[in-house]
Amino acid sequence: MTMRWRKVVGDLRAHRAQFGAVLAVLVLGIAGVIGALDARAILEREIAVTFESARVPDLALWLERVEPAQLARVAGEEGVVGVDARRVINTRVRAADGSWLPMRLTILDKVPPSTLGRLHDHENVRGAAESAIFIEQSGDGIVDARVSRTVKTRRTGGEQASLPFGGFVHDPAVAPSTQERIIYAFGTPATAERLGYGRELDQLLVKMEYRGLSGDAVAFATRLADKLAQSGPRPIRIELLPATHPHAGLMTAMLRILGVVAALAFVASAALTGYLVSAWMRREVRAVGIMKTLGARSWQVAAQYLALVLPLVATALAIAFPLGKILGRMFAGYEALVVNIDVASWSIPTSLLALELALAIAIPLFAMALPLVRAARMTPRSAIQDPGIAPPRIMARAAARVLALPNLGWTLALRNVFRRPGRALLMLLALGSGGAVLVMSLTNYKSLVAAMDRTLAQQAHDVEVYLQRPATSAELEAIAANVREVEIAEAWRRAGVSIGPASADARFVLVGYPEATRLFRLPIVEGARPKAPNEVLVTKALLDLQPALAPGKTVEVAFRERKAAVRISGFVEQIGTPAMYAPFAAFDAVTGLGDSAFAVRVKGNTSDLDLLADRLDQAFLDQGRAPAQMTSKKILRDALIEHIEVVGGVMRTAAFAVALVGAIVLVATVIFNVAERRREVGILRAIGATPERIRAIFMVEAVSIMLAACGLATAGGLLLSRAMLNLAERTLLRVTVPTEFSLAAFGILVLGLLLVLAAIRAALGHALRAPAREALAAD
Amino acid sequence: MVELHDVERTYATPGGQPCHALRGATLTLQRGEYVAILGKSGSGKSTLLNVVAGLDRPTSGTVRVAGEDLSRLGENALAAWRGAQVGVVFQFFQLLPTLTVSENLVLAMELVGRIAQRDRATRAMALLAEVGLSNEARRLPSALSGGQQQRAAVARALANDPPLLIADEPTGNLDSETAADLAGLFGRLVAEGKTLLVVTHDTALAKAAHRVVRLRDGQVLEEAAAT
Repeated sequence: MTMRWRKVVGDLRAHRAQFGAVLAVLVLGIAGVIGALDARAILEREIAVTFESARVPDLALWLERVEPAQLARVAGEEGVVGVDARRVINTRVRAADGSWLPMRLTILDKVPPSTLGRLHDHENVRGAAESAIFIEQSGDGIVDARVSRTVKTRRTGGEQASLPFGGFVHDPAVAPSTQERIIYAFGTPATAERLGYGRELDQLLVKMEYRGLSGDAVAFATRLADKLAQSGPRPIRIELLPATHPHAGLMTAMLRILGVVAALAFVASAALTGYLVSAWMRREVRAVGIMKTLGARSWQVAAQYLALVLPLVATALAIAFPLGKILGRMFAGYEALVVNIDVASWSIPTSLLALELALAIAIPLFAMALPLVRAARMTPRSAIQDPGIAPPRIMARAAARVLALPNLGWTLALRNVFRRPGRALLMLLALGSGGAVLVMSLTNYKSLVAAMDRTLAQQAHDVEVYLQRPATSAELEAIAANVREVEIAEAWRRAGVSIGPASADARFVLVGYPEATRLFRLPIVEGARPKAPNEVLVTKALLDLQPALAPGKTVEVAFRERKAAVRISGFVEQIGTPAMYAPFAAFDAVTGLGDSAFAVRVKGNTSDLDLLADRLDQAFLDQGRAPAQMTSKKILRDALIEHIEVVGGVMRTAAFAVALVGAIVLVATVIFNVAERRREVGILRAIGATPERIRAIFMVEAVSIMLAACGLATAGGLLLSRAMLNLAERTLLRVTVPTEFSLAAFGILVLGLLLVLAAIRAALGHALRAPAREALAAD
Repeated sequence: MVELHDVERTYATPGGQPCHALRGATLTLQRGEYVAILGKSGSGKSTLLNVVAGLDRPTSGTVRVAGEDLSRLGENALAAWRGAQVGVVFQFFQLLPTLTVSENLVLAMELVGRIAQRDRATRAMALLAEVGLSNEARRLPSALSGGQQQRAAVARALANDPPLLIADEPTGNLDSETAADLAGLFGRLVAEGKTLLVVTHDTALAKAAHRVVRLRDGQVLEEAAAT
């Protein structure tokens, strides 16, 4: 072994704690970058592949009954690559906890279907009884079918019915039941028959060869409808089905966050590694001077230290690369479960692999190059004469003028923070950015929940009962009013409509309410309440479909073949789907449906909304009016929170990861500071400072960095949070979301601070153990 | 003032071999005495100073300074004792670079707590005036010359009015003119009643001492009155 390598081995051995810290930061950083990039690549590809592989239909043509001849006719049309038929029954299913949940039962010729809307066979569903029911896998656990092998549901008249359980299937084109609070199920015409429905299927599903823009698809669907009308009944309705996974938007947000996490991990890891190496190289200055005095040239010095860091880089790569791959796969698997998609392949494109490798090598080299080159270029004189305790720079001079506390020990600690302004800034950025992401994610969560609670409180009803079939308002209100827990019951009307030229993806709900309503109290954020018979209110979410809407504007609303002009009197504030609220007169003018109500809104005199919903459910069932769905404020709240959680969880994970790296480096830094200022420690001891007092000085230094980081995290987190909430207000929720500062975030920050301080205290105890004599003798 | 009796100090070298820095050293300093220690590198001079200042503990033997048996003091008590009883001057001045000159002095007083808080700033200014640094009180050490820094270090060593001053090569980093100034300052301090123990190679500084002690291989070879 050459002398140079002996020095390398000796240095590694002598400074194993410092190199351990560098290694830990490198491993975390590289693994973070690789994990985030891998997860991003897998999820981005798989959500599209999964949706594509499901062969989700593009169009649904609604008929009284889909005949085989109609299927054959449409299948033969140019531009059609697949056809199928289905019927959708909205009913209820008994959950494992005994409650009745809404269930969307899709009736198909056979399960699993072979043409469109493919299901992934999670159990061997072949061989199940013909009338069996199959549950979408995200409902596993919510519905207790695995043990009992039966599913309790409701017949058309509301009576309970037990269906044989066929097994769990995976429909990768739906959002998970846990988030949507709805069970997705599948059955055959025999299943429908057992529930009292006819065997006929009423939706003709079409998969287009090339879907194009929504206008093109609607035009194509209209041509198909015309063709069908030539030899039979014309479709009652054309529906343009979603072209993307229902959680594609959430996934996009998550992928963006992953991109930011990867960038953050790269920058933080490189910066912190550079910082640690720089701090370590400060201690090597004398050695550099000695080597140069002995005749070493700059490149030889650089090569010497490069030889020292190369094993470190190799070790970091060897640990971080597989670790990053595992992390990426774990995260992608978890998120796939969250958004209910299948991961068909975990492979990563070769180009990405090459990029990851380049980044993994770039992090340490980029980080270490500057301090190594700087040290190598020092003159022997400046290296040898390096005083160890460097004179303060301009910033430290300024700090000496400005920072003065009654306690000089604290003053010393505070000024020492600014002794290396670059380091202090880096540390602040690392800790501050992690804390800011944490504050942002928890503040966003609290603000969103508060906004959600506010809008739910503005909604005057507690439960809305959706019926399978319409009835007169008087009948429905009478049924509800008979329930003891009901204070107010109003029958409301609903219809799917569109504005302007019929465009199936521009459909929204027209909600009709009684003129004398006591349950419509949504605040008007712009304009006024309807006064004239043709005036309506709209939610701001409708602006996504019709950006030109404004109070005072008159628009033409289409319902089936009817069209009617209505005037927008104002906007109401409500989270949810685009909707238009019309008094019955305006509703009738648009739809011509008359006294035909599909929903009852109820305000209860109890705070137990589950009880209220159960009593209403039973009352409607008793009268042969089986509810298709019961939506209470509680269910709505839980569903919305589940959605917020999907992105919130990722952000919190990222925040904790960044804060963890910051904390590791802060602890390492304090140890480096002690090592770098050992002689200073010796002087303090020589002039009478006890070890406790010296430890307190270093602790104050760490606390001031942490407090500054906390301040930065809080301020930055609130600013980031406001920016994101503004975006959510404008593009997603369409309601005002005031910032609600999360005390929990602050609590976690403070707790983190205390934990790090405890770690620093322990580390200092170790670092300050050296006798005063040794401290004074240190170079 | 200082009594060392049969003091041994042995270190374990990295190779495992014992290194005898002091071998049965015995030395006594009377109050108000100025003693210079001479010796080659490795003779045990610095170890002797460290033992007297309570910065290092002997392997065996007894050390009594200012009436206190140092072996009976724990780390914290030793630090408090040192701050009050001993002033240390280093070769490289070792002023804290982020504190001004006067703050360096006040910190020493604050750490020991012997001087009342309201008197510290005044005392610091008085000490700086004594060493000729009144105008430099608010400056950072980096703005001072080597000689000025060393005088500031002496002022800091006097901050708590300790009876014993210890200096390790105090002129080692100074030019001859500045070194002579410092020697004069030491003379004044001794005249005021301070006890002074100085490790030096500077013959001028040694000549000013009441007594010169020579060390070789950790042993006190001879004690002679300075000429």
